[in-house]
Amino acid sequence: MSFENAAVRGDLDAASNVLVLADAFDSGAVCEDLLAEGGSDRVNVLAVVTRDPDRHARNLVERTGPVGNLHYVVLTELQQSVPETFGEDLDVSRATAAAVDPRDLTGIGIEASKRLAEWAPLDARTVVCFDSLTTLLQYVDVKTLFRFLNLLTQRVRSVDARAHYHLDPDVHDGRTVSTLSQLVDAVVEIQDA
Amino acid sequence: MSDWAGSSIAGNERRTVLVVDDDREVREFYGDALAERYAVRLAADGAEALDRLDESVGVVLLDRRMPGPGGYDVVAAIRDRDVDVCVVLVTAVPVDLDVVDVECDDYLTKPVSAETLRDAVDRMLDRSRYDERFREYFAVASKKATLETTRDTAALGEDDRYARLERRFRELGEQLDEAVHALERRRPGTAFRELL
Repeated sequence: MSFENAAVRGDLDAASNVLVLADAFDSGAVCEDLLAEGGSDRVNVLAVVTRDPDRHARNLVERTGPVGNLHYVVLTELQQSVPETFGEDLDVSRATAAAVDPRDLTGIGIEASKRLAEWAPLDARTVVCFDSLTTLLQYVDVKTLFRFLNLLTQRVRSVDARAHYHLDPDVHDGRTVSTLSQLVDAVVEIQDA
Repeated sequence: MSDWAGSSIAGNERRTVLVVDDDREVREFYGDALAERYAVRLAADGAEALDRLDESVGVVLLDRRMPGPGGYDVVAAIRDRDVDVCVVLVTAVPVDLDVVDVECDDYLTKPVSAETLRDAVDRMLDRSRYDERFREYFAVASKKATLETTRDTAALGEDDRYARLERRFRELGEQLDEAVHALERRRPGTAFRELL
């Protein structure tokens, strides 16, 4: 797997956990390629997002093709309702969502862990998009995020899933980026054209 | 026994549990329930508990209501000493909102069975061992990050000290992974619930 305008550190093809260093605007294409890595097979997608899941799901299916199970963990401070199911007209086996406060790392972890365990016995591979670590760093310090990420990357490895985590390197100092990079197998850094 | 027992993260040292309750029968029941697995110290009130607290104590089981300083006051006094110990409050009544300001690690509601007591202590010690390993893991990761952002990559690759740091990072990572895996085997999400 390779990307235009991107530097890759580590063995991306063998990686379970990948850090994507890019701003929100530039990371879309890499994100879609990583989510679609199952090729023609339907993959099960777990996405942790801050955006409207229905719109995200439509975009995902349009760009990557049919999806198996699709579950969103929507990070929101507001008590806004997130529809438990949606996207009935999309080529998705089942689309669900749950809202979690971004300060509640335990809640995010439990939600992700439950889904990873539920899909582990299925034939289709599970892929995870975590968008983004930059959002979480608005609420918790790097040590707390490192602890959370250490647990999550272990869960991803243990069920043979593949996850990528978005981080905007322009928002954080080099040491923060490098500290979080220790927990992943590969880093994809989008470079300015 | 804890799921981590026998794993590389499980400590083989015999940790001490300090049981604090003004009711002698309860105190001795707790002590007997734990004695097979842990060294146990008993204390009849808060003052005696603070006398018997030292670095060898890993968990304090503390009655919330006692004559003299109550459980909440004893928790505050323990935290003032800055010792690395887990505190489990044992209460006969549901906890009230005061609990928000109390720095304890867990609660048990009476009556407490011997099995519940042992599970609670196991959980606290597992957490305490994880915290200890994690502190080192994060410190090693921070050192690596500092070196990697300030030194030449090729030079680091040839440095034995950096190689030692990398080895230690991998060892600790494997130990922590094993601990997480053991907890998640109980039920998905358990590691996040108990370790974050």
